[in-house]
Amino acid sequence: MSYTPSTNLSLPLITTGTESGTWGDVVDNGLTQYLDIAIAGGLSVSITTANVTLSNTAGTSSATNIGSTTAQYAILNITGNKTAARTLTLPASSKWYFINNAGGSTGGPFALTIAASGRSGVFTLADGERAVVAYNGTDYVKITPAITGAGVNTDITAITGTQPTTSGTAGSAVAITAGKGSSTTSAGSGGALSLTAGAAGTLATGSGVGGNVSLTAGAGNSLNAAGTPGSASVSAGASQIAGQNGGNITITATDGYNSTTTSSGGNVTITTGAAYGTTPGTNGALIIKSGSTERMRINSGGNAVFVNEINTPNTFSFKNRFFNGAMQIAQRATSATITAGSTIAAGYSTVDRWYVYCTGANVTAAQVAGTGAVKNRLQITGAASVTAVGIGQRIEQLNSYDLAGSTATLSVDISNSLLTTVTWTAYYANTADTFGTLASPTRTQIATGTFTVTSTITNYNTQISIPSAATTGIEVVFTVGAQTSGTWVVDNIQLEKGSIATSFDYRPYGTELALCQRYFQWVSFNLGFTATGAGASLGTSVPYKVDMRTVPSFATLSADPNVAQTVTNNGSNAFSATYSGVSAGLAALYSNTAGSCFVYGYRSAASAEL
Amino acid sequence: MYKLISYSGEEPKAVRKYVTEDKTQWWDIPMNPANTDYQEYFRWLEGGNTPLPADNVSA
Repeated sequence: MSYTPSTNLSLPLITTGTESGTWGDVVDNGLTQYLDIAIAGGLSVSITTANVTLSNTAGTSSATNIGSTTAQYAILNITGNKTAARTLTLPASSKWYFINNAGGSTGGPFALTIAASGRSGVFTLADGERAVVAYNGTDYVKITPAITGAGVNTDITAITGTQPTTSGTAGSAVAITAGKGSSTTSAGSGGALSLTAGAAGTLATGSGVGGNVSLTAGAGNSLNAAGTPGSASVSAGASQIAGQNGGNITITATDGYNSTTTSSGGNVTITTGAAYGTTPGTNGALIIKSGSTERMRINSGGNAVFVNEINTPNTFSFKNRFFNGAMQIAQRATSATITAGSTIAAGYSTVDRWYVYCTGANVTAAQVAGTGAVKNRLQITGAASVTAVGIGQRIEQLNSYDLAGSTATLSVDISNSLLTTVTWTAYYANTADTFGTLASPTRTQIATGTFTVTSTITNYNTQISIPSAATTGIEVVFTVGAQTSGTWVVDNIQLEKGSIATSFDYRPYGTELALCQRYFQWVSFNLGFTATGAGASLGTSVPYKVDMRTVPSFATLSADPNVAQTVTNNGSNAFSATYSGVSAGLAALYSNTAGSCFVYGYRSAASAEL
Repeated sequence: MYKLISYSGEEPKAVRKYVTEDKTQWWDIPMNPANTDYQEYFRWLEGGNTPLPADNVSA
């Protein structure tokens, strides 16, 4: 042999003046054939139960010596099913390969390590993976070329993991991962992963349609988009997220970190398109459909349009469980002196449904004018020696039963020109609608708290967890300490279901009045008849304006300010409600003598307060 | 101060609670356990008190 192999491919370097007569054979076998496989040749390499090593071979004047382990090939097609992780060893000399790891695994998947001779390898190939690898002077490394359509007018139709042929073997994964931020001296941000469909092409004659971005999870699985802790977003001019084959679409923001520090969950933001142009149109509406039927629309003005009923606990009227929270109803009087130490019954003296009590000295309770959009307020005027004042309302079982076992929100407007602490306390009755007296309450405390108030009327609110046992009626009491002077003002008191303090529930005056009259009302008596003699009587049903909570107590007759008083031939025992059986069903008028007998212009207070 | 009220000699179905010392103002309270005034009267009775007897009011 009178030639030596080249450094990388072992091609023949013929010594000058040698190989006379066989020079052409050496070139054919040692150079031409090898150049052919080194540039375009593919070698099928079966890797199954053992590692495989390819080595450079060299042609001679008599043979190419190219075989199944010749390393000079350009393309290596890996076949066979590996029974364990395997290594393909290649010459430790400058060379690049295109490796198509088309082999599989039995019981795997098992990785295939590509290593230079004498090395253990620095990377692996997964089953089905294709890669360009090159020797870097030490070992083989994987070159990951960018896949880009720039300058290539050809569709890249798929990057697809391999589907194994072995039963029960998982398909190979395809991962596209942006680069991690640097963490050597300061934390860098991770690289963004961007999937962008092509924009529509435009011509003078018209424009095309932009491409869609499609992300599809395997059947039965979720399509997840989540940053850590960055946001996940899907946005495009005309793109859509579409579930296939009846699948659901769930958009879930990231949870807060599960760590020792408190962290918030991520927001989900849906942004409609903005209007553009020299004369902008209307911003896009947020539309929710069921099938092809529109169910809800929020237009660019923020107005919501619902096709059918709205089922939400806290948005609309009659959410306030208190009656007369706005202090507009005052059937009894607009001002009254509250006697220190008096009963709750005596405390129902001004605005309806709210009782007032005090200790130490008398206070004045009055319905006063509000300011701005508030028409009325309840004002307590303190006095020397006052030690405590309370304002409370008892809510009937029938109107609070559903609050049991839920969260309710108490809200109230308060000002106090003297004191800065107002305590609220919520109770439930021990038995249905029976709360007891101030001296002997029969109620169980639910919760209590305080509002720090000022002389400026301000809205305060708090959440109350109502126990499941609280099906018997609920009472809320606001108290202050020594209101020895100044005024304490409250209004817009609301107790509503849910954990959000919503706007005050203003109800029509007549409706609110009727609600209050279930507990207190003035009953007018206007009767007349022709008596046959002394002691003759006329009975009539008590003319209630609305049905009362229970059989009411009746106060002494008094002049009805709305009707002129006229009395003729009335009996000495006067005119009173008569309790018939268990209901106050009758009122009776008695005559002094024969002849016309009538009483007009009188009324009686009927109270069925709690 | 409470006083029973009876109609035509029947068992009292109400009790009158005087709210002024001159007894010119009162509340007539039905003997109904759901009425809170009656509940208060009942506790007053449980405290060992006794109401004034009823006048027989015609009805």
